[in-house]
Amino acid sequence: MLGWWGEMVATERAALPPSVRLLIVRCGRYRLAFPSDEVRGLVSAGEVVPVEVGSFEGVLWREGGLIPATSLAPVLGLGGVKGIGGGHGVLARTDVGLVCLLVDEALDLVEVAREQIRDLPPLVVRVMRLEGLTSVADVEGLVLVAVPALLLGAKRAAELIAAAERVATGASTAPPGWLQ
Amino acid sequence: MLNPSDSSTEPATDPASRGEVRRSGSASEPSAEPLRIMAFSLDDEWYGLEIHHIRGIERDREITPVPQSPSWLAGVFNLHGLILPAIDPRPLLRGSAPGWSPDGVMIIFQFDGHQAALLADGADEIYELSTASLEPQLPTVEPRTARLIRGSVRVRDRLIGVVDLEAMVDLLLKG
Repeated sequence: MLGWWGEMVATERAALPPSVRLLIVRCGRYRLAFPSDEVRGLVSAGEVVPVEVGSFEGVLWREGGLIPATSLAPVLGLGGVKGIGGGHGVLARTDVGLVCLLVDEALDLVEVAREQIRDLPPLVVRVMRLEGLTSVADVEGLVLVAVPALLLGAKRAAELIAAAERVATGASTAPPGWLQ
Repeated sequence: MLNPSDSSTEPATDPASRGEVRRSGSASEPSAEPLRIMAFSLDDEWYGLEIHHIRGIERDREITPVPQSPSWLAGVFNLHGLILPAIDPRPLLRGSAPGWSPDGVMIIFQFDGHQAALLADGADEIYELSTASLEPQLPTVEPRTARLIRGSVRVRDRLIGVVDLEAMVDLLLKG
């Protein structure tokens, strides 16, 4: 099970590495695996400060700035799942900055050989942006390998970053420490 | 894994139950190309799949759901190292919501290079019929469903809709 916590050391991106580290998470009934070099770290969802504006759940104060937090559930088509609650936040790298994706739980961090990541069958490949499938010890069934930034989409990521910046602007006029 | 295509001359040992080969209709007509189907059930309805497409029947496989997938895609599963889609035919054949139970069977089929599992409540006997016994669909059948059925055959008290696998795979690929 999860044997680490906090910031993950980013691995160097290399062409076709023989193995890849995957962060396994659960969101609703889905089990997803994020390549670790697409993830900056993992936080407790309790660290996210709820924000009542915009279409996102809250913000996270990290490295001198605000990171928007949004639930991964709607991205996966899971309705009626909103709110911070328990669980974890995956700090996903996107082209425009970090986005905290809220999931039900982080299950494991594993290393798998690249050839263990299989392509999706043709009947499945057009459904959504998934990189492949793999199986992981201690996790029943198959795990869907996905790049979180691609799941979220560039447009949505940009919207979230912009919204967090607006919150930051508003925070500059708020009483000191309200977001700590 | 059961391989129903091995049961061409002998009754199969267990195509999900007894798997016996029954000759029905006018199969004895010398000019008729025999139609060999395995019957499977979806709730109270019966359908048939030509057995030369069937690679076997599986049970108790862990199906992994795929986000944002169409209603007919129950998920994917690992069959001896192959990743196969698991298709719930209810939305396709009945226009109803998906509703496969893990107590059901997974009919592994192959068509035009595509291998997948059709999820059914149960698989029954293998019937050998004549193509001439295939009756056209009733005009009252909804067109979207009707195009996935080659026709119907009556076997004893059952009306079995024979699935047009080519049309079904085409539909699945086009969405």
